Amino acid sequence: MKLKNILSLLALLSLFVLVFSIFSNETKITKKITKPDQCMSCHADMSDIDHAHPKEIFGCASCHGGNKWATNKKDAHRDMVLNPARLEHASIFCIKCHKNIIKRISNSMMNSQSGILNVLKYQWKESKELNSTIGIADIRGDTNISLAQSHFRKLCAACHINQDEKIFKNQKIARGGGCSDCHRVSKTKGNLHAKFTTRIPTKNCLKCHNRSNRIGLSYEGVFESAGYGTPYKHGDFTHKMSDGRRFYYNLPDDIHHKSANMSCIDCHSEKGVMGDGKKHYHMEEAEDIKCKDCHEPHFKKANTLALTLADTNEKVPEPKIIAYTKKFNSPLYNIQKDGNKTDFYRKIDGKKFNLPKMSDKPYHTLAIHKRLDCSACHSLWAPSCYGCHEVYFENGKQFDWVKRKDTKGQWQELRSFLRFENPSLGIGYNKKIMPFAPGCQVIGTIFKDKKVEKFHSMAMAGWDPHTTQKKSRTCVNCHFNPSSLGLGRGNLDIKDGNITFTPIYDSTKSGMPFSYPIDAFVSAKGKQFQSTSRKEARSFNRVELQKIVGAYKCIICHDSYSDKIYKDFNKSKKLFYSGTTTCLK
Amino acid sequence: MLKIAIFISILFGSLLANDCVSCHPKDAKNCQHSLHYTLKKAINITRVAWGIKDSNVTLQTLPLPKTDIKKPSDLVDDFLRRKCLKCHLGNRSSGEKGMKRGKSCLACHTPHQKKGKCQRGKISINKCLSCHNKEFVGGDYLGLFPKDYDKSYRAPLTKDGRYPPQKYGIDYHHLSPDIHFKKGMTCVDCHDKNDMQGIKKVSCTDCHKNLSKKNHTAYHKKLACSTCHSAWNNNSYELSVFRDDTSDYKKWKNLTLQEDGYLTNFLRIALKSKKKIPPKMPDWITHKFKDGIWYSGYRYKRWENFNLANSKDGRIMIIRPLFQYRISYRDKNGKMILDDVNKINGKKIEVWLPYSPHTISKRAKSCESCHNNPLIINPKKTGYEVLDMRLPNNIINGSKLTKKQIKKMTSKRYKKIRAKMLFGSD
Amino acid sequence: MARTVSFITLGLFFVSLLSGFVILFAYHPSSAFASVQKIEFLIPFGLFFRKLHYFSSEAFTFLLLLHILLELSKRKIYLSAASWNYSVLGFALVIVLMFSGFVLKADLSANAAAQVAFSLIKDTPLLKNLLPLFQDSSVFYYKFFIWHILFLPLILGYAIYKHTRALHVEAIYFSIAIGLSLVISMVFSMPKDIILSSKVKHLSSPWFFEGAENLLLKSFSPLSINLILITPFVLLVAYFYMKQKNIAKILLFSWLLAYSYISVFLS
Repeated sequence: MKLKNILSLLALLSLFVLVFSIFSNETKITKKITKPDQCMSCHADMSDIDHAHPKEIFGCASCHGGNKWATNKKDAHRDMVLNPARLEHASIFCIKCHKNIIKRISNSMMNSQSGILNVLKYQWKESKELNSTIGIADIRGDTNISLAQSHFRKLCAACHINQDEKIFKNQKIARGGGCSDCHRVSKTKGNLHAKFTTRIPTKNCLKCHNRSNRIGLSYEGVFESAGYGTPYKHGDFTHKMSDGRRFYYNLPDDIHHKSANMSCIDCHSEKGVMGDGKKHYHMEEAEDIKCKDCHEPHFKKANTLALTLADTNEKVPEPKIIAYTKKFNSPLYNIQKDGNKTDFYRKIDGKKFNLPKMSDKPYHTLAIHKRLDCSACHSLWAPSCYGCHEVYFENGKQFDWVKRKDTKGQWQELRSFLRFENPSLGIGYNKKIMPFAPGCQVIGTIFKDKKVEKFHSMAMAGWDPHTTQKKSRTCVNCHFNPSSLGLGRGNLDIKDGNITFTPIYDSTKSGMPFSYPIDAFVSAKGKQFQSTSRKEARSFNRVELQKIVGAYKCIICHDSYSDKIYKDFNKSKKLFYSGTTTCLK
Repeated sequence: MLKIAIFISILFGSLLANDCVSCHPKDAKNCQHSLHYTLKKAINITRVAWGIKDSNVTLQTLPLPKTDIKKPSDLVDDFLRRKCLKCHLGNRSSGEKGMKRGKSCLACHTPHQKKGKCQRGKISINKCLSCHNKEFVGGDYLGLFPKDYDKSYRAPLTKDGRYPPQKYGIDYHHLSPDIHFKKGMTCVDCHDKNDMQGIKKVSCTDCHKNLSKKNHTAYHKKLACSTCHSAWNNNSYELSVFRDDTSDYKKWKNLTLQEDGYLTNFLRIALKSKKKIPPKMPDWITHKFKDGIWYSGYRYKRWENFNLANSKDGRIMIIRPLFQYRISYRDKNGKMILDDVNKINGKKIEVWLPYSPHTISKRAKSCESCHNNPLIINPKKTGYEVLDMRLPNNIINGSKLTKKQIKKMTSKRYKKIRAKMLFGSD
Repeated sequence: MARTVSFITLGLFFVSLLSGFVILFAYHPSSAFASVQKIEFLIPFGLFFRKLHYFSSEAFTFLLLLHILLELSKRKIYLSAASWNYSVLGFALVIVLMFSGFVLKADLSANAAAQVAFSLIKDTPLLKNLLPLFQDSSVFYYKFFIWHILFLPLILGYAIYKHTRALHVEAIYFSIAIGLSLVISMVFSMPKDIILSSKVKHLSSPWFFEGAENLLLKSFSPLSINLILITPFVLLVAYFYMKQKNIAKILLFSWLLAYSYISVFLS
């Protein structure tokens, strides 16, 4: 009976504890909970990540995970995420609010690198399919690794936004980290949380866009030099690039950089950069902005996205009437209509500039040049790296950026020579005439045990080199310049109505496995020597070369666009050949 | 002076030893006035460029280098002796493969495989190229263009996976060679004894007498033949030179090939060695090792660019920079005595020289190569160092094209003639 | 021996019942995980009672199994047919209670276990009609909560009453039960709750459920798994009526061995 009492006593006691704890301590308990999560009881002095995610509302756990109710470090930090911006974490945390963006960026080319991978496989003749969306995620588990894939893994795959930052030995050139690859502007130090922003500095873009077609460098007027490191200063090399291995020199920078110090994001809209959610084959399909979107803008009322973007930007004034891109109809909230003027606001600091419209002078309106892309005339130079000699040691070891560890096989890159002047022209991916440069001229040597194998894949690629100048190339610079025409360097002339061309470079004697000059895209007779990376892209053909060079005969004297003979060039030609003009008399 | 006297006697001693002079006293005497013997031109151009006024010395009278260095002119003799004058009649080799020669007469007149025997008959191209193999005229005749220095330019690999064999310690691009070379002619077919001994300079028209009137028009009579007929030319822009008396070699590991066989070998050993190797480089005249290493590097090289100038004898010729110097000197204690000096009294250390590229092709350059060449008809500075160094400055043995000349190149008359030419051929 | 075990088992039932009663008021099905975490970290003695509830229940289940084994080893059955059947029902209810308790902790593994159970039920004919009894469209844990705190304990209580014919325990055994639970709670620590946002490769289900989950991974059909799960209870009922008790014993024992094997080695 006594024990029975104890039993009832215990029962009562526990009930009492319950009542005591829950009802009388309700206020105390709620007080004990720091807002918005328990993390703040230790990390109250952590600074905000940006103004859109104040810690008073978001706390830590909504992004970093962990147990936000826990009152001790061990429990609180269990299963916590250090960098929730990495896409696999972002798809748990960030996605709660940024649902679309996470999906879009995950499918974007900066994440999948499908453009590089598939063009590489196509050019190395491992795949006939140029249009494919196979990306890093799809090859991660591959065990049978082809040559192109090995090359991709060891040399290209370092740059994708979801790369692991920690694996870079040189932390100065670390890339990746998911959202933070672009959006982070400072690293966490003590109680200063890494700062995030939508005002992405060019510096962040340049972490990756400094090789291959090098648009990031070219835009700032930086050209990778021949590696001399001259001039020497203080007993050391100068003009070192941030990676410490390459050198550069300064060439004319892009007019947008020169005149307004514009950043990449001033043109490249969020949709163009982070994608529209679809998996694209090539860069140009994902790209949103066109020169005309700004220089021949069509305005509409600002939509909610524009207002949101301007609000997160903080510097650009609230948009009312703004320009939209033609392709994806995405708002360019920093191109604002102000009466008859068009104002451009620099996204980094909100500084206002007057945006010049495309003039309607004959050079922009004449039909004879309607096939030209803006870049064909307005790009002054393009980084052209001739001869990409790849050496592969099958028994070597090199870091695999997909597996993130050393694996078998080692690549080494050698080259022939560099040029930047008079980039070749050709028919680009948009079927318009645009600058071309080697991309890539691979002459490979493979060391397999004791055997040596050779292969080559010569290709030219067309792109906007981002070296836009206000003043265009001159008429002669295209119409009678062998380098611009894609013939290479040498002596161009017309004999008996035919184009003649004597090249300077002797590929055979220089040891190349082909006979045409290495800088020749096409022969004077219109035979294309090198392949391209798009189905639509090609060199000029025989007829086009004849036409372009043929027009030079008139350009000698009629060297201005406003010359009336160009208003209807075909008619003028007829008149000339009928002998009724005063020409040459 | 005593040392120089001794040297001259040694040189003549070798001449005597070979017993050439006893039979060819006249030739030996003429030889003493030839550039091969005095190297006057190369020496004095460099000395003037580096700030010595009215320099007129020869290989034989070149003073010993100064030890107290304050300005570029104090360093020039050291630079000449250790970097440039590797090739002279008294020096047999500077370490590169294919550059071994005999001394004095035998430098040219011996096939090097037959020791001690005189060369009878023609002197082979290889003999000439054992010296004339760099940026200067010589290699270009064969279509050779020295590659950029960095290791990564040693491509393409050969079929068995090796770096392509070097000639004269240099890797070359092969460009289109001279038409005369293609037809089998060697250097001495044109450059005969009289030319070599400075008695009578050879010229194209000595052979090519009946030129077609149609192509060789009156308005181009002032042009040198090579101005139109050279296919390409060597433009090596801005040569940075750096004498370093410290043993800081590591950073040169990708730049061991500097067209200097001694330096290449030295760096190879120094970079491998665990011991600290002191920086030493020989004086190629006295053959004595001295402190310091001369490093060099261009800014960039081009074969397709060219610029024109009036030469001293009134012809319009292609000119090239030889060179645009930037000079550095670091002493033993690591102190930068000269740090990237490229100007003396506000004037650039830069010499441009009219020359005849030996890259002759039958087909002349198109009219546009000059008449639409922005470097010639629009020689305006752009404000970008790298682009502006293509415009000539400080031309020796010549002068810039006058404004009138430039204007003429784009005159209505030119345009009409050219248009007619193109349409006429239609 | 068998008698001691049975009384301690009953004692543990009461400990579990009382400790559950304490924490039930702090539990909110609508913010289930948060309230569990609040019980653990913020409410005074919350963690203590949660642990007590957890360990007493686990111990109760283990001792119940032991109790069944011990009783089966006896030759004679002292129960009537009705009370035997009630006993088997009670045993089944304990398993369901344990499972619903596991689900109610509302962490990632609980969620996963619930989803697995749902799909097991959903894809089984007849059984799928019972789904509305557990599934709630607005508050996921609401019906689990109701079952766990109200109906299941009530029915179990009734079943135990039918089994023991009196629903009381001698104080000495109750004290042993409390002592045992307390000691276990002090010595051992509970498995940690897994935050919903975390990425864990393997989520553990309740131990008695591991076998079912492994079978599911080996792509057994839900119906067959359900049949496997029901088998021991059917065998236990059959045991009472069978003359060849040894056959039933062997069957039961081999089932136990097989299921243990599946649980441990088949993952």
